[in-house]
Amino acid sequence: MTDRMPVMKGTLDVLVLKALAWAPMHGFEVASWLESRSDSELELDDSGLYQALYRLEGRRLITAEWGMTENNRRARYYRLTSAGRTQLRRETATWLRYAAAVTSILTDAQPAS
Amino acid sequence: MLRSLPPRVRRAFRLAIRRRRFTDDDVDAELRLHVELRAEQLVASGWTLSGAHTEARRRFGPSWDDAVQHLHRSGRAREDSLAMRETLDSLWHDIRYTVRSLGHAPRFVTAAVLTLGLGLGTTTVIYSLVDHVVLRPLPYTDPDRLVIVREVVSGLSETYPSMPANAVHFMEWRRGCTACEGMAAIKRARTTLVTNGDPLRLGAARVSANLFSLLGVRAALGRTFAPGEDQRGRDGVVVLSDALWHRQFGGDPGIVGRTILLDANPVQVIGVMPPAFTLPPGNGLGALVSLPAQLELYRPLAFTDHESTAQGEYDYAVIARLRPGATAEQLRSQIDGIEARVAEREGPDTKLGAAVVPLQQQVVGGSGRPLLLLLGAVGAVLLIVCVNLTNLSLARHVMRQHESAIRVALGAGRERLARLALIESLVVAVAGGLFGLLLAQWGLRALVAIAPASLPRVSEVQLDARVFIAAALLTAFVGVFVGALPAIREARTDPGEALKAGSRNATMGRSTARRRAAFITAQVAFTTVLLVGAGLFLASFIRVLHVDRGFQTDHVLAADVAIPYATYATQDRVSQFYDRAISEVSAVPGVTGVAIANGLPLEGEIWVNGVSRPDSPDHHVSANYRFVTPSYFAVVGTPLRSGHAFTDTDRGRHVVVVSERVAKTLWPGESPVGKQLTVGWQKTAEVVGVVADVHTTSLEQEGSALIYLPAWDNPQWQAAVIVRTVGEPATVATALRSALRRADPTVPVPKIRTMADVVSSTVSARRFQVVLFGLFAFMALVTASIGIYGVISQSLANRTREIGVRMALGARPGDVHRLVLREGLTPVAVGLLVGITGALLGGRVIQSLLFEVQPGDPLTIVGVCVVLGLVAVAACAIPARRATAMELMTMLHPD
Repeated sequence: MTDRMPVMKGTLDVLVLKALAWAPMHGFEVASWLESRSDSELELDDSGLYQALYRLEGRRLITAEWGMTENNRRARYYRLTSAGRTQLRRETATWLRYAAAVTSILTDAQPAS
Repeated sequence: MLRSLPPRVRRAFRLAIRRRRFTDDDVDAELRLHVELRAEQLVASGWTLSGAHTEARRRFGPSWDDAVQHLHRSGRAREDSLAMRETLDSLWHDIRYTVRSLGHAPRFVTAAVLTLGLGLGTTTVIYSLVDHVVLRPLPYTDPDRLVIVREVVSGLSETYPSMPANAVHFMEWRRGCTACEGMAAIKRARTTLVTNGDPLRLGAARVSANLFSLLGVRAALGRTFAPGEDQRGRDGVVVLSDALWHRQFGGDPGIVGRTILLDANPVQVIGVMPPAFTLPPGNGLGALVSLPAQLELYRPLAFTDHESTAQGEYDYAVIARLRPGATAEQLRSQIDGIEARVAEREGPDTKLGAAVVPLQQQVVGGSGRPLLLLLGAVGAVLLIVCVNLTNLSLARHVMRQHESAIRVALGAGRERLARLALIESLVVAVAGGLFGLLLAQWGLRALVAIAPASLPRVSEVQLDARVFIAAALLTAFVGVFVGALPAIREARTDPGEALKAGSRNATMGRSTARRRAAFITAQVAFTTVLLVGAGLFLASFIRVLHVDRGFQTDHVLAADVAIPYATYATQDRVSQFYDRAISEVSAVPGVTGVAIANGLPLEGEIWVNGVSRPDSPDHHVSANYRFVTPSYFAVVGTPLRSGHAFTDTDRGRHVVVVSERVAKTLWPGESPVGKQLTVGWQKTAEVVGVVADVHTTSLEQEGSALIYLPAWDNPQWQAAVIVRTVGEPATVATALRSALRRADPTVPVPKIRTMADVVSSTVSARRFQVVLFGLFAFMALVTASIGIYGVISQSLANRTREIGVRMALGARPGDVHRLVLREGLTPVAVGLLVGITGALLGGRVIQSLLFEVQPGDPLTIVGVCVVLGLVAVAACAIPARRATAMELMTMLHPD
């Protein structure tokens, strides 16, 4: 918990999209999904999460609707739109290429320190 | 996804969250749930209840309140963004719907786009012309502080209200003037450049060294003149035009510093001007300046001894830059003061004054008004087009009334229907605008090609961002203008009324009939004004062409020769060339006469100087001097009124032939033949003949005073070899050129043209006006006739049943035709009346542009009435015939 990594700028949006690709969720579900998936390695700022949700909704990558939780509590459920799905695919591909490139540089065996 | 929801839900949803407070409440509710769930999660992993709650909030950042506020803002931003996207979506939806529905009305779309395209295209073309020629400032720095200074010289001022400046006076002004920052003089020059052995005659100007800095322009390559380079001895430098640099030197940047041969003198090229730089050609800087149309070289103006002392020569265009804050009037009164001192020094009879005109005004000069008039004409055409389109759109609206009523009944918002109508007209306008731009691109090239060379700055005209923006604004304006009425109608849709009527064609009410009549009246009125204008210009043009010009145009060909001073240093030698040229050219087959003169009719005023009676110096006039060989009058076809032309036997005597105007001014009521005339400053010559007046500058101005002196007395280096031919003169051009080459191959022959070409180029401005005005009037006529046809067809289509009933009751087709014609032609007649009244009232505006035709010219007005009347009758008769030709049963049961 002490040395968890803050989420890198710009990656939160794609992570949220990924979470919502599984199923429609409300805000807290998204947060706990991301926490459990990252084995609590990522440090999530809850305020940032909601900002990301609103931002994505404003761009119509996700859409929201009020619904009921299992325990009958009113919650705002977010769902991926088709535009969001496309965006997720694109962002994922970009991220993977980027990560692969960075990884290949960093794992270059030559100047081991 | 959002769109897949039922619209009712969507609306309810949007309604609830649109408002700020609802958005904030949503955010709060969401956060409350989050904090609760998080706390429960923490409690499950061993936190205390209150600790868990605090921790859950802490995870939103150091300050909970800040976080909440921040998220409220984000929530609102989200709603704004969604709302905007919604609007754009629905707009896009409407546009697609409109385009689809327009696809079902190809005839409407074709008519609308074609007429709008033509209207907008021509407006764009004329606007860009007006913009470049009249509105746009000259391409110099702070052009509004640049003025032209000219002289008012007593004794000459009746003929020439102002003259170019005298060199002596110019130098005095330059010394004594404080209201201006600087002053520069310009004088036309002709120069021969020899490259690769070929002599090339070029238009040049000699300019004060400070001219370029005064105008605020720099050389594109190298430099312009340095101060002092207009002193003799230091003036062996030249600045080239961009065109010459490319044409003769292949755009070689190494040209700067090279030495070239000008008039057989070596001079050094110091710079090349940018492509856009030029000085106003012809008399753009004032009458009698006549700079060459193509200025290719700029030489420093170093006054010769003669120039810097000559009292009577007024040759220099002078440009001054006012000091910031100084007015043209201040400069004028200052120079007037200097002029008074100069006049006193020069002699008791001399009176001098100054005239100061802003450069822009001088350059635009007379072109402004005709161009603005053209813009007005094209605006009228556009207005007719708009009126027509509005009518067509309204007809579509009437047809859609039923559909709209159903939509309103089903809950469609009226503002949405109005918006649709507006979008439709905007879509059509944009399509028309794009088509218009295409036409404009093409039309502008055609226009520049036929534009008279005297139109200032016409070569700069092109479609650029400024014109494009104007066209876009105009298109939007037209879209709104045309769509406004249908939109208002749509907004007033009453579901009850249209549905109750129960018929597809709602009956034509009184107001519809009145509206249609008003449309016809308006169109006909505008068209009438344009037709009258075009008719008046055409009548003027015809009259100009039939003016008694004092010379003949058929079978006359002229070649300019520029005899190089270097090889022909004396007038005797020039005379020898004249003789050789005449004998060579006479031998050319098809040539029946040859003459040499220092100027052609209609090619401007040159060599202007005073003449007077030695016995009565009060009888004086300023005249154009022409030095001609004896056969000149026969070759050019200027009729002799009395006496005789000079012959070879007159060699050695001082003889002169005068024009009728000179004869009438100097010897009113007497025959001048045999009388003495003072020519120039001292010589007297005997008048041997009187010839008809000849137009020197334009066919529209009366012939100037002219005197003709024998060429052998004063042969000129600049001259024209004129020949009379048996056949088509242009066919002799090549033979003429080679004959002159045989006389001396080193003498350049820059230009050969027929006299018909000369006349044609002097009337080009008028032809331009007639062609354009005629074109616009024709467009207006076509548009208006289509409009009348459309209105009558619509009205008949709506009344098919009525006509059927009339015919079933015994009316004959002729009766119906008469009915239709009466209905259609009444508004036409009213429109004609209004239009002619307007044309008569507005006639004063164009009076100064007409030639020997009054604005109320009865022939023109009757002609316009006949043409419009016939067209209107045809436009009514065709649909009327069609209506009565239908089967009776079809008429009675249209559905």
